[in-house]
Amino acid sequence: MHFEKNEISLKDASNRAPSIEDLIEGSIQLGSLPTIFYQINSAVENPESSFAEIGHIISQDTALTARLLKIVNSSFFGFSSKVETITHAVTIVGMVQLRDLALATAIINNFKGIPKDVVNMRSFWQHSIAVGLAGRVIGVYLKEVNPERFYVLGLLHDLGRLLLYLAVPEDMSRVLIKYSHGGLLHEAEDEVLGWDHAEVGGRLLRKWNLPDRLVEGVLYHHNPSGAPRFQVEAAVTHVADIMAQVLELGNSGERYVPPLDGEAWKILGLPTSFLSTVLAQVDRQAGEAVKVFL
Amino acid sequence: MVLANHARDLNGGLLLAIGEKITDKHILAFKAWGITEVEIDSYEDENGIVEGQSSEINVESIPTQVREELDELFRYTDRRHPAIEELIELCILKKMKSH
Repeated sequence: MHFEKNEISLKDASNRAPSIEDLIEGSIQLGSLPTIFYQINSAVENPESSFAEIGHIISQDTALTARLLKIVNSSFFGFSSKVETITHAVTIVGMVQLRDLALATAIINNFKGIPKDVVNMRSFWQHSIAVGLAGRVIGVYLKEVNPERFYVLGLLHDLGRLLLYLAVPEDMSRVLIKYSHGGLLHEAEDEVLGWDHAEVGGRLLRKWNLPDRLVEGVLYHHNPSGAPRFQVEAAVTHVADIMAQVLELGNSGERYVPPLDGEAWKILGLPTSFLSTVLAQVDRQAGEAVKVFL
Repeated sequence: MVLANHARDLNGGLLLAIGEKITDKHILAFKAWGITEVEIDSYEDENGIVEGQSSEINVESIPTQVREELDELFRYTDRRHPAIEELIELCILKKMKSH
């Protein structure tokens, strides 16, 4: 799905920042996910669905099918034999995981066609992919069910900022001026606009009817210990964001390593010695992940 | 790679003790005993640099440019937290390798 920049631009005659509600409601194209995602989602959530049925739904979208097969056959999964059909992919990767990968693919696709002078999209996704990879490695270590959701969270965590750059570029210019005087970018957003990209992203996901786990993971990625229900999602994304920033893989606008929420670190209970493993794996996987996802 | 926990066979017999360095020979032995995964404590790169262990980096040996980049990158982070200390050290190793 492609969109034109002017479709989402929110010009405010009063020159005041629009309300967050206006921003979310005004983002026509970004405000929806492709129908096929919802079809996949409802099939995955129906306990009577078979692998073949889900395979059939996905196969109707040839571009999505091709992309998912490329991902499943990459070192991201490391299967020894080639996966040639979506039904086979569903069988070995799992329905929920494949649904999450379909979501990741749909979201990246949704933002294609954005002019380079607005945002360096490659750099933006590089950062998001690095956060996703780090989150996935942490999720596997924590023996969390469906670690792919942490990958999706990484892809989504800064989506709100993308919306800000695109929909309210003049307000974002004011934010960037504030940021240039010191402090963190999300703090500058909050000071100038009254809310930050995490809130915008969380609300956008809520509008997309995505699960609360994802909504909270995005909403609280700078303040994970404040998440009311899904602290693990928020904490994993928070730590993964810090690690991606340390690796300096891509950039979504922030130049500095965000402060670590000590409570969130305690919630995860990770040994510090594990950090080197995460960094090494992300560094190794990032190049190929960027190739298969972008 | 160094073991983070004892590696035991299916009957609980000790195969390799915690803290031991894992060699190719050990991996073959693990496979023979049906052990598909073990917990490791550190990662050793192709240059033999063991990450994940506190390698005491001599501050004087860090190039000024690397130190300045680190000061900038970690400007708003509490460097006293053990996780951040570890990340700073890993960041120094990475930057020194690429300089």
